[in-house]
Amino acid sequence: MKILIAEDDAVSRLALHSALVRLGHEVSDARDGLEAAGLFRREYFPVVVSDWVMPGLDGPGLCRAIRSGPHAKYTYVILVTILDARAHYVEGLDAGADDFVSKPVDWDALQARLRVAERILSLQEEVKQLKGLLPTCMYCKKIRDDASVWVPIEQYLARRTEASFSHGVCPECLETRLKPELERARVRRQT
Amino acid sequence: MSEGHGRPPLDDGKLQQLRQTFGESTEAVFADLLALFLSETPARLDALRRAAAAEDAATLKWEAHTLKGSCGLLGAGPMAAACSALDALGESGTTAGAAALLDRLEAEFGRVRRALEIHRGGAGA
Repeated sequence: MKILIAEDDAVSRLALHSALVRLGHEVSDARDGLEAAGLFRREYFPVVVSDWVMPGLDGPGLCRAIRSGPHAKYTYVILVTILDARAHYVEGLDAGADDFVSKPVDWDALQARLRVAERILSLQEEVKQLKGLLPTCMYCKKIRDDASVWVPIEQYLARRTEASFSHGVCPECLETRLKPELERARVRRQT
Repeated sequence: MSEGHGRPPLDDGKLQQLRQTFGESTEAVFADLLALFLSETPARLDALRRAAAAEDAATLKWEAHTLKGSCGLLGAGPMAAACSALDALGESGTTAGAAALLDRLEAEFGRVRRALEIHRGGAGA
């Protein structure tokens, strides 16, 4: 994943950068919140790992800048902090943070949180695809799925959601389709 | 016994764990980290002294907080504790008593520096 680090302490920044590169991520560094906000405006990062206490723009401030930023895709924000008071977590969540890691960083815990980030981002992408435009046949209303196969809408939704279907007839179709059909059947039986 | 209340300046276990965090490039990164800490810290201590002299509690707090992060990373517990005390002092909006805490912090840094030089040798630096 592309990860943006915001950390004003050079030693912590180098350690974080090296650990994330080792995990296979593509990492960009910012020396404080303002620099991170500038980089984020120019380029989308799916994950931001930010220190809390920084000069200029702190971690929660950076979160707010990210949430009001220009990118349509979601960014998962992890705040790194020595601050352990519950009030700080509430403040961080209110600012738009998704998760927290304590300083000094437990690298295994950070790796686990990045796996959560990857999972959440992947789900977000799926939801976005579901919400997006679906290619639909204008006659039979089948939907073209990810494998370019045309499937009935019930099948499409059942595979992607927990919805189940019961079949009925809406009042409009009752009048315009079912009743005429029943009438035609009645006439056929009489003749 | 006066420095760090008898505690060793570094937690060797934590440092060893950090050393193993960086995969194939472990030794190079580890050596870079130690070198960076040793080169950056004197400037931070100067900044803390200046903040104390200027009675700038906010800067005192921020510099101490930042240095505490590095100390925690390297397992320098007593030095991190000295930073915490300065951090708390700045948080309370005053610099009164900072000089004595800075003396303690500088003494701790001296111990950490000596211990790290040994590790740097081990890191092949």
